[in-house]
Amino acid sequence: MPFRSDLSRVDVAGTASVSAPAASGAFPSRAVRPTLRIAGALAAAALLAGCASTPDAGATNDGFVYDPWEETNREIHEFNKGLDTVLLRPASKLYEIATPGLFKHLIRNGLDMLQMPAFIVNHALQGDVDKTLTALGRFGINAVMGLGVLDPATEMGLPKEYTDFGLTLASWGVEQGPYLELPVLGPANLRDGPARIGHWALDPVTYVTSISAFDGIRDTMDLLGSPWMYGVRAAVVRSEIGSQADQVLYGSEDSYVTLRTFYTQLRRRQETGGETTEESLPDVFADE
Amino acid sequence: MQFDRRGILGGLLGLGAAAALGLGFGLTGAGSAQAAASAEDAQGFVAGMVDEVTQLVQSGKPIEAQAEDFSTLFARYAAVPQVTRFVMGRTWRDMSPAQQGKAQDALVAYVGRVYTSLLNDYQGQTLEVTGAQDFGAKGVLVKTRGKGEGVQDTEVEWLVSDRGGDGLKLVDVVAEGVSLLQSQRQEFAAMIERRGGDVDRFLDDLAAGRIAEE
Repeated sequence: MPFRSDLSRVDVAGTASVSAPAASGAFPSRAVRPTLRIAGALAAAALLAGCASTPDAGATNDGFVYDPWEETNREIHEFNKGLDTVLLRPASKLYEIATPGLFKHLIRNGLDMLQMPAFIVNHALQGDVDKTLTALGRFGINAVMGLGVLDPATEMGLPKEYTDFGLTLASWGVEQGPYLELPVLGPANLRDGPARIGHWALDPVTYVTSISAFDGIRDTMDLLGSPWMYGVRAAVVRSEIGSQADQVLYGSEDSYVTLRTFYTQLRRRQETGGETTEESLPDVFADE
Repeated sequence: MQFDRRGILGGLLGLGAAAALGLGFGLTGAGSAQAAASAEDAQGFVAGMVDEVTQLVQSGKPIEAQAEDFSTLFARYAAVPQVTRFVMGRTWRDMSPAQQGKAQDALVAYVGRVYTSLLNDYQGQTLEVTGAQDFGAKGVLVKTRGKGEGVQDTEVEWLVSDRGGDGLKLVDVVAEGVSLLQSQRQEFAAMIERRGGDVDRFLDDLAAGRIAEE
């Protein structure tokens, strides 16, 4: 079983995301004017749809991925790789060693739980009634019966179905567009990069407010919605995909190209709902 | 995430609806798409191959010996000429027959070395065949699920074809949506470019496991 890439588990909107929370941190009160922000997100999405509808002509490297900004992307990649080397990888190792298995399990479920509201919103925006209801039920069951850190829903036939706003845009017909590597955030493209802003803006967790009669609950809610969570999530995910990420970043001669290839394939796969399509398979017997 | 009454109520409502829905899925999902006869052959082929590789990794032999054995298995199970041509990409057409032969040998050596060390990271995990899908001219895609303690399940798919006229051969491995063939093709193109298009140097480095520094 060569070369498993558990990178698909890297939730594209959540992982190593620091920019969105950094932005949220800039606002003194995160409760302000959600409508304004949603409007902003929609504007961004509209703008984005405009950009990304540019035809994908002139693709480099066999037309596998369109990367007109390769030079800049490579510089950013070097920076990101350095960040992984000195910060993210060590943090993930620390988490891996210092955290007992049971806690890792609970933390993983808790992080999944925090993503559920965004999944519900995006499944709904994609017009997928089944998945929206599944996600809603999963959220309800795991919140109530699982206390937010257990996952009885999967046993009950309500599995986690990853999605994000980039995939919502894909369902609306927006193409991936040129490849981008973003500082800190990592691999993306002209659709998925800006879509992270939309994802964050549409995520109910972003608007966690401090209305609760109990200080304990309020503080917990504030913490869960805070930028710190993105750092925690990045370290947790990095530890979960440890050897695969190491292989991509440090085991190949050109980690930029390897990451780009992996990311592009993973996103294509997610766009098709996790199914391998005939189009995605190579035809090695062609021209014979 | 605001746990006010409305939120919880909404969650509970959804819970009921989705639980019913989930049950429905479970019932309909069971008897989907019966695999054809050739798909069955492909499943047997993959199961046999996975067994051999598992035995190899568990043999306790030193890693160099494992790499050689793995290369032998790869040469036997995979459609090496077609795979080599694919991963060499555009360069293939400009290569002499001698270089093309050299490329096959280099690939076989490379696969043994690289994938043996990767596979050793997955000791103790098991793969079970879960189904197959016929993709016509492109081959049969055999689906397997990797299971291990404390890790999430992984979907690994094996593209198998007999179009080479030499019985069933492995064409590609798709791990969680990432095609090995595509990934290697992209990586090799970058490696050749980094060597200024010097194919011989690339092939020597590939076989020997040398990395070019910038």
